[in-house]
Amino acid sequence: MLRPTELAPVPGAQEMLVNLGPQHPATHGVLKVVLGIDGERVTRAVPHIGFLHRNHEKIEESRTYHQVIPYLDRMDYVSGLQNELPFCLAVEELAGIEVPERAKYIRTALFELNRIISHLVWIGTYMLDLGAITPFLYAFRDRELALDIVERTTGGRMLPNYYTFGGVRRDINPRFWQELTDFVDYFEGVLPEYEALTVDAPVFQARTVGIGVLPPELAVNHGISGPMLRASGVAHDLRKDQPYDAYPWLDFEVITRSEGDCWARSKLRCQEFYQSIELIRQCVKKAPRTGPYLGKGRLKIEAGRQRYRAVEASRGQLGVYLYSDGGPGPYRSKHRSPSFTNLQALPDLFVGQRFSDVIAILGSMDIVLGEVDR
Amino acid sequence: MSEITLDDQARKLTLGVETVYHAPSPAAYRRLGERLYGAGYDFPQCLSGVDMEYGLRVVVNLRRLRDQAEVTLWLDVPYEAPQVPTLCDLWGGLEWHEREAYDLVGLHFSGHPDHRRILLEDDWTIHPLQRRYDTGGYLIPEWRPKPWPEAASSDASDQAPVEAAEAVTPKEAETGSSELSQLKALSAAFAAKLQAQGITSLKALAELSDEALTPLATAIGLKSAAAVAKWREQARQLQEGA
Amino acid sequence: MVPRDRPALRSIPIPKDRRYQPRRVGYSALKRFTARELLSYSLLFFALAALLVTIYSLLPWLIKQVPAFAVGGELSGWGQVVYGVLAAMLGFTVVAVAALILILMLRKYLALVQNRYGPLHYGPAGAFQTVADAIKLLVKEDFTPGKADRLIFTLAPLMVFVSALLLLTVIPFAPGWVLADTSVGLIIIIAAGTIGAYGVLLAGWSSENKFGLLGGLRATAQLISYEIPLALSLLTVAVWVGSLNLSAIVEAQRLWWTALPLFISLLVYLIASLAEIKMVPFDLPEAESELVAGFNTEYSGMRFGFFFVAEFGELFLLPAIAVTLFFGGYHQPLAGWWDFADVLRGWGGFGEFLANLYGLFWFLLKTALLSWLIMWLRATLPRFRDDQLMELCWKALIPLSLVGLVVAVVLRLVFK
Repeated sequence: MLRPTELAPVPGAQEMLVNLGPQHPATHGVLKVVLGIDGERVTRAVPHIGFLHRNHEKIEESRTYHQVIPYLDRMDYVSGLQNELPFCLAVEELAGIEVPERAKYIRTALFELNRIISHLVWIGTYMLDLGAITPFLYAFRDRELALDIVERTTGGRMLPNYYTFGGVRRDINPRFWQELTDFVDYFEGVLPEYEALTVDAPVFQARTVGIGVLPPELAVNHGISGPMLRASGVAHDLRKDQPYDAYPWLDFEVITRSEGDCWARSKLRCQEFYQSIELIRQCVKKAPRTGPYLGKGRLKIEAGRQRYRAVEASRGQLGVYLYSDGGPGPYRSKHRSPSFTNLQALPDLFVGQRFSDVIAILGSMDIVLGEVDR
Repeated sequence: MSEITLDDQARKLTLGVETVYHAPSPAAYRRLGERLYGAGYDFPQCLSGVDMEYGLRVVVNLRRLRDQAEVTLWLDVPYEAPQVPTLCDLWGGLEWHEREAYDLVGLHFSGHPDHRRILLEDDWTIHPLQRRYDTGGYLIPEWRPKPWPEAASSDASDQAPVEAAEAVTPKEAETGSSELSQLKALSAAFAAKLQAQGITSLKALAELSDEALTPLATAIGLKSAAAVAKWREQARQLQEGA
Repeated sequence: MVPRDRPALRSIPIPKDRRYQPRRVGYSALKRFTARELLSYSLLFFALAALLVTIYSLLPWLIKQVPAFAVGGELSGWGQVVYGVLAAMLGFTVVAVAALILILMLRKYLALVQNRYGPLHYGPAGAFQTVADAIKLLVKEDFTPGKADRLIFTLAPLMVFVSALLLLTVIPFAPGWVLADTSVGLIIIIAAGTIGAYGVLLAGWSSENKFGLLGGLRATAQLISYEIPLALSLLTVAVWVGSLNLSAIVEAQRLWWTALPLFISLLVYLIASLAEIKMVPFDLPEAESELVAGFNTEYSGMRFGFFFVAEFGELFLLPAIAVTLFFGGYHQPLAGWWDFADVLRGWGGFGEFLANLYGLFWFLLKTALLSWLIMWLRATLPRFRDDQLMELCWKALIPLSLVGLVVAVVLRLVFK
């Protein structure tokens, strides 16, 4: 399944090279895609990344395990807490640290809340790319309400630095579960409006139905995960397949759609809103109100231990490959980010499409350059 | 360990166990890759390059979506010859991971269709994630590579024991279970200790008598015998189910 | 259904730290505040318009006061020239004022919908924001791209602007208050739109920028294509009424508005006018989040200001044309049965003026409602892809406008 070299000119076509430059009005971050356009069709798409590369992995090699966690927030800066979880899980599993039940529920509730936060950014910016200016503001306004909860609990909106090995770093405020319930009740009431403005809107459907179809075999072979994969019909969700935290005790189903086009991905993410709301409600109901928020255990990993642990972040499978040499910090921590791997499908999705659909496809892939480049 | 209920436990066991393959040579690495692809590992999760200070290592994590089995494959190559055969014709998702491994660690993937740097600029001179450079990108003058480790003293890992790469047949790659690994599935941290106490298989665990629980628990360092009782119960149920 | 928001503001412009104030459940004070502002802007608009048309209506009398321009109680040749020039300047002022207020109302309306404040700083509640924008555009560096054709680069925005102004000249704001009461007013409207399309094409081409050229070509294709349903729907009105003179068309709608029998043509006209204004959902030529930045990439400063004012002038003028042709112009609804303007006229000389003001009020109200509809669409809809745009025009609107034409012919044969 080798693709022909992207840099070689496509024979027979008279193409014009156009830069979808590192600075977009469509706010995905700094991504450069060199497009070759022949008339209306795209003949070549070569993505160039690395504009936001900050070399996290090298820095983390000279930090202790606790010092690594703030660096992780900077990867996917849209959903801060989700980045910390795979690293914490990997270290907990290697060092044998127990996580108490209450801490698991707190982590899961905040994880799902961050999924809502991240999908709200996606929906706002995607509609902005397509020309509708109002859902952007509605999404960010509702996101403020969720970020208030995150901020009261963790201290930070964008870079929370809250999960730690064995649980969470500090206790939640007494109104945490009530605040979650309030937000979730409110948000469920406005979700039909979001859907009416976006996935059910005829103009949106005209722009996205049938565009950028991703075949499931290609998706699986390319390691694509998250809503992109599930919208192509593959029911792979790490919350079900390799559960962590409180997910074994929560009752939910994996959402899939079969069409695989941009509309299916958008609809899936809207359905994930509902799913996250349901999961947060279950967490609120089942979480013990008393108990420790931090488990006990020595953070000592023997030399030579390694572990790849992944979680289902809002963009896909976010994983950490951790190799330890017995020292106070990781010897090598490689972050497998979903956007990096999903972006590999970009040439397959762009080539052959109309030039005007490029923006629609790119928005439906939901990439954040912070975690692509690290 | 995180508390896993019996249902998940049973699911994990019947779905397969995590296995690790340590390829002794690049050719074996490529053969193993092809065999694993043939065995149905279709989802590439991650390919990492690690600088082991005696050489470079490439670690591939794969997954089989059918039964959620994970497998890890790694290969050590010396600094002087960092060539590794590419696996991205089997799994397209490893293409950019291999480019990143080349870019940051310095592994060369022979047969890669687009072998150039991805995160750093195309004319960057060093591979920053190597241990000979410090965080600023400067060469550490007193850094020397370590000697190559002998084959016997391979790294301890918490998964199944390292198996000789040539001996792996597709059938073994598929089931990939050994007794110890089944024990490890129950409790990875204590499997070694159980083994040291003479419990080497699920059968032995299932046949423990009630009186033997508490001394065993004390011997392996647990406060109460409840956990051992639970493992015994799980082992019994699995034996009945198997 | 926007989230319940913070407590009401006590003082403009910027509220203090909003972070830890408790949320008040109930109607949003933010929206009440902005709605108040929108109402006051509308009143301001009407006041300014009333002022301008008052000057306009007094203009002949004023010119006749100068003996050189009056010959026996009528305007002499030179008087007519002066009258023409002054009336044209007045028209330009009307369009500029309309654009100014509409820009502000658009921004405030979008803010209302999006639960935010909109312009707040310049002037009372942000009323002078557009003036500030105009000053900003004026003081920008005026440059021409190196390889561009200077003459055409300068002329193109002017062509677009002038085509918008031309639309103004034939619209009757009140009985007798038309700048040019020609017998072919409708044809002038169609022709003016065509000049605008040509200006856009030249703008894209003279930029010497392949993105600008692409944008210009796409824009021109869109504009030219949508001319056809626009013209056809306008002509159905002419068929129904039997005249191309806009004043006659308005007078013919004294009792029943043309929108009632010709609603198909009205629909076609509204959609086609959206495309002519290049407003969402048809704003692909000037969209920023698409790759190509549009035909006005290379324009900055007041050159871009011309495009901008032309667009918002058309936002006023094309709904004004719709009002004139379909919604009865300056008549109040059901003026055939009882018209308050007749009551006003009964009061003598000044009453005529008051009746005209009354007609102007109705005219502006209807235009404002249609403009508000367009702004509403702008706030809500994403944009079409260009081939979908073309498909809509050629496969949906043109057949529909032809159907409307047939309907008009049939109805006229039946009813007249």
